[in-house]
Amino acid sequence: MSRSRPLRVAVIGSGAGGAPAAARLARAWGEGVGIFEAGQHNRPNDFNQVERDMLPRLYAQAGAQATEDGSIAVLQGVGVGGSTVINDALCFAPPPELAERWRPWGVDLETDPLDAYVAEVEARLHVTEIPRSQINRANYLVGLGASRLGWAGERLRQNSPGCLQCGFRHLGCAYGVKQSMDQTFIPDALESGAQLWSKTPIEYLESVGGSWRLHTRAGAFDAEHVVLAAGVVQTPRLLLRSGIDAGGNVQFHLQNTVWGEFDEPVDAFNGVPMSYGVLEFADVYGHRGPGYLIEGVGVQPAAFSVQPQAEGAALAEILARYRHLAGALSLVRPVGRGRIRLGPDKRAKIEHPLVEADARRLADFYAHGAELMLAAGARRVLLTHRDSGWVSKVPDPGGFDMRPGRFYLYTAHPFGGAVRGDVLDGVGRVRGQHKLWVLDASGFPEAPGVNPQITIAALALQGAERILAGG
Amino acid sequence: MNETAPPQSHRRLRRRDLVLGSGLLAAALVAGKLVGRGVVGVPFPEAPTDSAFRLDGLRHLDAVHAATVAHAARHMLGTPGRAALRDGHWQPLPDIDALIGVLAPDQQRSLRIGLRLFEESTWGPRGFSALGESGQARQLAVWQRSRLGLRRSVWGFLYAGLASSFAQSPAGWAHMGYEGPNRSDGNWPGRPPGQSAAFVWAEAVP
Repeated sequence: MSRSRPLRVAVIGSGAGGAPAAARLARAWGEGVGIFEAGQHNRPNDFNQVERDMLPRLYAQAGAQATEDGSIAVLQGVGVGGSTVINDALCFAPPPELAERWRPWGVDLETDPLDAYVAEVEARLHVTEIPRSQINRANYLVGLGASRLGWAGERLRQNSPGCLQCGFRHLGCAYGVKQSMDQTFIPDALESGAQLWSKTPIEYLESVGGSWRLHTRAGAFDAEHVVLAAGVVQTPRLLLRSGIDAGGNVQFHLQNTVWGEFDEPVDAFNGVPMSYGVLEFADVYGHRGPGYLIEGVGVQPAAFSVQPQAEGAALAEILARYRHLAGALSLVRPVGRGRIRLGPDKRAKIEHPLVEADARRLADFYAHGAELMLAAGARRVLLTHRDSGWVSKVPDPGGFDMRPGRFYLYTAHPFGGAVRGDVLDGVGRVRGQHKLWVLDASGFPEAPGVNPQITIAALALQGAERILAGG
Repeated sequence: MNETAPPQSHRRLRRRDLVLGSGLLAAALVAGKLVGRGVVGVPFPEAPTDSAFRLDGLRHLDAVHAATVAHAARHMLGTPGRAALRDGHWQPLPDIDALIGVLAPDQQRSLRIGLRLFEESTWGPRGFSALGESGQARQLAVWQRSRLGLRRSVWGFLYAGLASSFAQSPAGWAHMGYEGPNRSDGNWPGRPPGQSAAFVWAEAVP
């Protein structure tokens, strides 16, 4: 299993950060680039669109990964392509506000902008605006509600040209149409000569004579440079297991949901799941709202069933109305910060407190989400809070008990754990270490406030260029 | 002698003392309940007999855990859930067992302890599994809204595990009107991808 000749660079992780970095490095260093992925290398034919089979294959802990207190579900992809295989293919350019927000952390995005890298990533991923014809009824209703209320909203952009609109993006694209990393930058890297070791988790790193030794259960690999891109949770965990202090400054985009019930079937699980965004409450792209996006959403049955926080006859009734529900989710740019720690058996323990300012905005979303759905013509709106259930008028956001564990709360966008300006310098090098880089979302000192795959990939390309330049 | 340390008799109660004390009290209550159960002849927890539960092949749920989860399943999805269990069209125990299996060993241990506490946290020698319908429903409701994080977490696990198990079963798909995957794999006919019905944009949306 081990390789006798040292690698020029080992890239650990193959998602939104690892894949572009590996592709750029392989262009110069060919077979000197090794990509290590703990999960499987899936092909489109492996995706059967059945949650029972795909959740264990594609999600960390089969979708059950959560914070230590169980109050926040942490959804992350596993396997080649990482979370880009299971995401909604939404593409946002890095918000201009990022430069100002990251500057105190020593990250200079003004004199060293990402524009060229963003353009390159968007071209490679074939990012386009979602056409009007692909807005399904559920997302149309979100847009309709926003329009009637005079709220700022727009069609979103995706990296899935020629989408068949099957509705199963969260379970892997069975048609090979979604331009996730396993369909784009990973093949690019392999074509340039990079080697991929899937189902090869790295246990820890050891510095040996100015290079690095990557220890796996089946042997060791040596590499001159190491790029860590294993995602928030595993990147900090690997650093900690290697004796490097990390884990702090974790931030999640905090996300809760509302579901409007309509007389006609909506079938939100069909078609493009997420295609419309409301920026009225955002604090990015020049908007000066309290700091959250609203996006239309549709999910498959099991993913929906864990949201209502009801039981018995109430839960049965909600599930029976599944076809008549249109969903909206929040994407709260957080104030609170958490931590990744090493627990028993060296596993990662995820902690993320829910601070008052974040809880208030999540409660705000319940009110505005209900307002949106009612404006669109919903008969009533399901709030995914244990004390709430259905509402037929806009609730008072101050009336919710927003302490953790009382409502459905998740994140599909974790950040931090090894951030620039703390564990890293401003360009992604691990402080006090030689030729060790972090080029994934772990390095983000602040959550960006938008779906992050483009920002992650652009920063990874920039970092790879620096490595090649001897940085 | 450290003159600034508080006198021993007034040692401040620390969080560790409270956790340890609570754990010892819980263990004592469970032990007392088990002894009492043996004395008064109350049967040990068993899965409901009116439903076709699969009890074979479970790796992480023992017989008591299985009984607890089985009884919780009868309540969690109301009438449609009970009908599906009775007919064997929903088998939650293997799903819950598999869900526990993806967790880390220490998380599994905590969960099994939590399930056991849920089973035994009743007044009298009868556990949750031996309560009547209303008693079981009441206990679930109490744990759902409890101020204690542990109780809310255990309810949350039962809820999410059982709801998602039902939603992935043939009975769940039928109940939800879900058409299933659109991809055909030979055994499954599939359905055309795209929206289930074209619709007209009655109003313009930006």
